[in-house]
Amino acid sequence: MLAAGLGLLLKKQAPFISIGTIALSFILSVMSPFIVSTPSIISYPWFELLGLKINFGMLIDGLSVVMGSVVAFVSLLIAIYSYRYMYGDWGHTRYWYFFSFFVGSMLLLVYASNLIVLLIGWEGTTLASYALIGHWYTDEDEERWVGDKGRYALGVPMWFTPSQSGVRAMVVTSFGDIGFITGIGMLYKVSGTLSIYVIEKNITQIITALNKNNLLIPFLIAFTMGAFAKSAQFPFHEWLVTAMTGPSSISALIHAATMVNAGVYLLLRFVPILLGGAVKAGLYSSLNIFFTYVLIIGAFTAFMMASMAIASNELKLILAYSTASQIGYMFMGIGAAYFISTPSIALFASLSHFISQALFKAAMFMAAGVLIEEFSSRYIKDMAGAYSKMKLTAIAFLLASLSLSGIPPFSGFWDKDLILESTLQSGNLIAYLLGIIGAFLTSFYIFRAFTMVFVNKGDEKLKEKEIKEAHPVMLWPYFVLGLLSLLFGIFWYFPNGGLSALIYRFVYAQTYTPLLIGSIYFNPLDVGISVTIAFVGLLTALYIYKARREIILSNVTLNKLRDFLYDRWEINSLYYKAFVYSLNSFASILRKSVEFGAFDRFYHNLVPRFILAAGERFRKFQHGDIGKYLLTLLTGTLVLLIIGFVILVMMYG
Amino acid sequence: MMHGQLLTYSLAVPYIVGFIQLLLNKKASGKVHAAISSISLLVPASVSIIVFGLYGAYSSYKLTITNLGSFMLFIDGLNWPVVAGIALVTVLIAIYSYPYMEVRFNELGSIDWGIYYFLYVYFSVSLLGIVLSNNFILFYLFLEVSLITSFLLIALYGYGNRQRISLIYLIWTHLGGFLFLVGSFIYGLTLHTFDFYPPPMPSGLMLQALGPLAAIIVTLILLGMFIKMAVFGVHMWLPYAHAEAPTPVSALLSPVMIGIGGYAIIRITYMLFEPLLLKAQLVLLALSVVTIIYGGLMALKENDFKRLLAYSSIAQMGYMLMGIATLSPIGILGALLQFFAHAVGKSILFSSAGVLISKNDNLRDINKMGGLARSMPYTSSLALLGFMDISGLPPTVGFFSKLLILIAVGVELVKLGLPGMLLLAFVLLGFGLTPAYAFYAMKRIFFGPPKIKGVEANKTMLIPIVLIAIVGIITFAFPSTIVNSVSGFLHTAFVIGVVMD
Repeated sequence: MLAAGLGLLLKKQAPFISIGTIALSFILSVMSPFIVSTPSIISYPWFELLGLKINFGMLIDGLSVVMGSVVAFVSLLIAIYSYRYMYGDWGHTRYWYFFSFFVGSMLLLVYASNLIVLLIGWEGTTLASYALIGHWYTDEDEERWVGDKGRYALGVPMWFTPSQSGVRAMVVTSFGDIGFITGIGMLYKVSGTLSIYVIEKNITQIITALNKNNLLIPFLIAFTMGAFAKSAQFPFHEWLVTAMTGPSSISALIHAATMVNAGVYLLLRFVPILLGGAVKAGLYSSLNIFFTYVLIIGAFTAFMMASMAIASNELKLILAYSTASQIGYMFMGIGAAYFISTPSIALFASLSHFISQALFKAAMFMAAGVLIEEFSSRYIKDMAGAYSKMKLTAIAFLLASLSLSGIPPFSGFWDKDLILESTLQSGNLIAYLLGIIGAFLTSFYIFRAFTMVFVNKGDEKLKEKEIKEAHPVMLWPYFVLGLLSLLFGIFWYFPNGGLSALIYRFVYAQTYTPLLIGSIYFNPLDVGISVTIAFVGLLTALYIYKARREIILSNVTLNKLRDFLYDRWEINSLYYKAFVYSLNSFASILRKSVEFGAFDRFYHNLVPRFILAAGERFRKFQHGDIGKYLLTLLTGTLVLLIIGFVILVMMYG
Repeated sequence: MMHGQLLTYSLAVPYIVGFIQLLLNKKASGKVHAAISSISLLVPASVSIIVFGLYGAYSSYKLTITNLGSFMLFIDGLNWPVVAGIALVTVLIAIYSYPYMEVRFNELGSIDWGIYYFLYVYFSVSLLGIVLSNNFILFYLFLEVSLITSFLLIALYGYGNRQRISLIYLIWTHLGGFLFLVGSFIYGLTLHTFDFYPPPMPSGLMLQALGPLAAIIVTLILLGMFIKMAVFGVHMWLPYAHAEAPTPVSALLSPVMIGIGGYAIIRITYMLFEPLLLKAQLVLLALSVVTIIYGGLMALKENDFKRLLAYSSIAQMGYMLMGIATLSPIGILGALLQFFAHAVGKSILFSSAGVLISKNDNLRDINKMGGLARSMPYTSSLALLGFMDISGLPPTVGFFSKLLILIAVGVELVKLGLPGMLLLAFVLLGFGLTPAYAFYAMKRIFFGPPKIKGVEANKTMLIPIVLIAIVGIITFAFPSTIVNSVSGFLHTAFVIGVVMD
């Protein structure tokens, strides 16, 4: 399986190799529990680090098998879609190379048995995302940009070209990685190992040692910084939004199968270990701050990004906001796990939400890719009337939207509700409220988009345009995913706990330290609230955008609010002012006054002049050239030195 | 034992061949000179690699002189990454020099293949000699030869105001060398030996024997090597020298020449005087942080591609110094690996800059570039690989050096406790700047709307760079080739050694 993952890296030509190897890794992922017993570690000696043997190994347990299978499956469908979508593109080979590299890196990080291997996959996804977000690097086609050309917020430009977005993604995510690696260093110091299995075994001592130095919370924040950056949680969410400059298939890949989910995986991998160790070390209460932080950041991101999505005009942008928001829900679940009696339930809710998200978000992005190509526009207002021409795409999109909104029996309903219930049980009302409002906004924004694209009728010109249903190679992957969203939902809870119970037990029993398994139970009242909220959001959006759009367009206050949301709470502008511009002008000042001012003047003007002046007093004859003079001076010094040296040796000898 | 002097003889080969090349000068074509140089440099390079592979640690016969100590060439776990880096870069850049200098000679109007390759070979082999020597005097002799030859290379074939800049280079590096020399005199005259390897006596005894002089020696050597490494405050010579040197020479100067300063700090001050460094640790850490941030910010603002790379070298030396400043075996390991990774990455980058200069009418101003990836796919891919290497992204060997240095920082953070979080904040900024300037430069040069149509390099230019890049990827996939030996050395020297104490 890993071999397949790595084999991908070697691929150079033809999409078929890529699709084939991804299919192979999918088959191997699914089959792996039958081939080797779970949990187990397969490893090869790799190199030595100061007496510590580092293996290149993979950890096969419930979590990695489930994650890996979903990643490989969704990537496979996206790869098939890409075959047609990227057909004839001028960067065709480069696209497939990095596509495979991306999937390979993601699988590597999911199956990694130690932190170094994990980090290679981790940074591999950073590199691949950089290359693919900036795939159309000539920046010539405005259809590929994000934001409206010429729009400024607080004086900061709000449009982004592919090459620019690539740099943004690279800089933000690698910034988080620095914290992550120093966290690994701290872990290495107190545990003397980098293997996940050994860390798991010694976690009690590790927590005790860190706590003794008052470093437990700083360590956790540094260690998870990479996860927050990669999963685009506040305050690192900005890069994901502009990542929409990449091909739509890549957006699907980043959002559904790889990249952003890496952070969720990292937390799902380490939080159970951490909780178990904290109980044994008797330090459970000192983790409170950290999990409150995860919970609140998750809830805040879920709410904030959903609020931005209701004002956006670009289809892919809406979906991008939606991803960060949905990942926020996953973080909420992970944060809430600490506070409830059976943490594994909330953790499983997050995992299940990852699966649901992977299914519906990949479907949506692929459908969006087709819509954008057919209508030659990324704005939803230009796509009105799409239903009349693309009925199957509309159905797939509808299925995915219903799952995203949390309408029963779609899978998105079950796990989102489970997350919200866990949050409520955790007793953190603020997080719960943010989550509930976020859920309302979620169904609102997605049905706003759905209404404007598929429900509303197009104008007269539409009939003349040559818009047709997607090619089957593109249509089927996302149609299947849309259907799966429904099917996964139907069998999620029924019969007898359904698929959820199956996966839940598999993940948390087939691991080195099995977690306490609880029974998944839904509180009717909470379910009622969630469902009502989802329906209200859906229907409001349908009502307003079908018939009453002018209510919003004409209202002054609402327009101001819309601008605020449209400009992403002005956060992008504030970042540019606080970091980019200020660092830039700081560098300019340094360059002018210190580098060319102080240093150059001092070393290259004052010092030579001083030496020259000093020299002229001793010797009256004049050298025209400073250079020759200094050279003589230097040679003189060297000769003197050598003579002095010889004398000294003689004296001592 | 036949192989007793193998290393010494192999080092003599390029010296002799280089001299013959000088005599031949115009009688042989540039192609012949390039081939001869590359092959003659391959001799000591491959001998070093082979003897190290066979024996693990190796030293030639000693020549002992009373009061001066013993003279020998040696290779062990600690200098292995440095030797490997120098061997790789010098041999391949010798080939790259040919197409590049052909253009440069035409611009200058005089074709002196013999002189160029004589200087180039003497410069390269002396770099190797510095690292292989065990004794201050030998070290300084090789250093002197490398300084003079590189000075002449800049003075004869450099760009811009090359007389003035080569002089700046000569004077500042000599000042560094001079301080180093004074420190070594004090050392040698007090201990009656100039050996630093093997240590003439255990560290504790040596500190006793030297008394207060030890601090002076360490200070002088550190200062000297700081100038050489171009850490913040004494870096001002570097952007000029490295930007205006002929590009193949920059590709050696920038990663290798200055990195040797870091090696010397490790080999001499860390191995012999660790307790003293510990007292200055905060200063070292601060200096490394400032160097990384300053170099990064300057690189961010720079519009001249070669100067940008020069500033990046300053920041990369900050990385190396930070590894050293943690004073932990893992940090030292990271620093030595950083030497190798930087040698790979920066030589690739300078070579790419060289393609732009020699094939595209001295194109250096980044503002005039843009979208070159379309017309120069190979050069842009190689440059991307180089930038990945210095940013520490897989699959390049730079991944491991950044990883190890940051792990060492993490180790240090645990020792420092909560106040260490301040260090973490600066490290985040400093290490965060590297991908920022690297990929911002990448975007400005190769991406965006094409402003001009670039001319791609020919095969003679590309092949050496591609080979360097391949080695960078192979050493990433098999880090044991570089890491294991250093690891083993440091582990026996410090971890096990401490337990036995």
